[in-house]
Amino acid sequence: MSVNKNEYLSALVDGELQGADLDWVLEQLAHNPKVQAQFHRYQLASDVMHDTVGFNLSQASQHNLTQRISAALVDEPVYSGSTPNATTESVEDNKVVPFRRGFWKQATGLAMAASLGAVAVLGVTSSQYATGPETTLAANTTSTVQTVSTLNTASNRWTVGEPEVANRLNSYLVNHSEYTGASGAFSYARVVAYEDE
Amino acid sequence: MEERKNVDQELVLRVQAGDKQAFDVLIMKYQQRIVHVITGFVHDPVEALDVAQEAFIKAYRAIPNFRGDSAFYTWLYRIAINTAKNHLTARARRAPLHDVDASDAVQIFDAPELKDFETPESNLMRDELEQSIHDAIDSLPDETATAIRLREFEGMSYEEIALTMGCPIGTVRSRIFRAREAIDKEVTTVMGGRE
Repeated sequence: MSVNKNEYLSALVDGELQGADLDWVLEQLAHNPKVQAQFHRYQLASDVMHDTVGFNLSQASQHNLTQRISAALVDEPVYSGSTPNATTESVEDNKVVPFRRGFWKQATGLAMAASLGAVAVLGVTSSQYATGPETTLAANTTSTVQTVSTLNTASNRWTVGEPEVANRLNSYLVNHSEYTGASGAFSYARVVAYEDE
Repeated sequence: MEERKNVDQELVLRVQAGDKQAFDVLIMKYQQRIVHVITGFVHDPVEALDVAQEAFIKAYRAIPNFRGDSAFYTWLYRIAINTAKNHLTARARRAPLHDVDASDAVQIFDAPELKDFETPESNLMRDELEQSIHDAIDSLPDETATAIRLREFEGMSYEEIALTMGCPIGTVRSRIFRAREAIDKEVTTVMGGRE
């Protein structure tokens, strides 16, 4: 049934062979050089029609490459048919997993927004009370002369170690947190804090 | 439409199940295309074949993890491209900067400047083959010629051709086979004098 055999080969070239027919053809291809040569010619004609011929067109060359690769694979393991082993090397595993496209752009934008948010929060509060703390403190108590002088000498800076300054700062920080949470606005400055100098 | 399992998928499953010979079929099927792709990077014929061999070996080693998310050829194509680039890097050559989609490969690699791999003799043989194949198709009965043209030039499946031509899939398969037999006579004639 030579005709049927070649018809199966033709269907294999087209990727249209299934089940038992495929089994039969694969068996023939594995052991019958004539069938191999026929398949090569069918495939070559298809490649020529698609203009995807890559090397010397002689069948001998094509056989040689197939044989070379098969010989090189002799020492390679035969796979067991179990679920692909996660530890087995794969092309994808060899690569460093790249960040999603646009990740760095997003991250840079977020970082800049966070910086601006922090500057805005601290800048607004400090500008609103740039003179407030010193005048209030200076007017209300004589025992805070040192604080006043500290605040005066370091304009726009608070000595956060002072209880009142600390209380005020804490108040603003709490307000900031509550406002951003309650308003539904996205807080770019997610964590705002201060430290004693 | 009934979902038909792709032959490549079937072959991959067989390789994964321990059938090494199924991989030989994949090599036979794609060796020309893979070498064609690699020659876009590696112009020396001997090197290109070495790179192709390396690419197929890498594919075999990686095939247990191939899950069929993409077509087998697309996956193999990527391996071939990466292997070619690595080869160039190893040789301190300058590799192309961007990946190329499989769909763009034919146009890009057909560029005249990428044909260094080809020799006058191989060009002549290719031209002769192309001409003989077209002559063979032209001499076929209309229905047979239409079937092979729809398959090879339009990329239709047997099912699509059957719908287009209004005939059973088995008839399509027979027509395409008869066309291939006619083409094969010409191919054998052209190649017979070269081997």
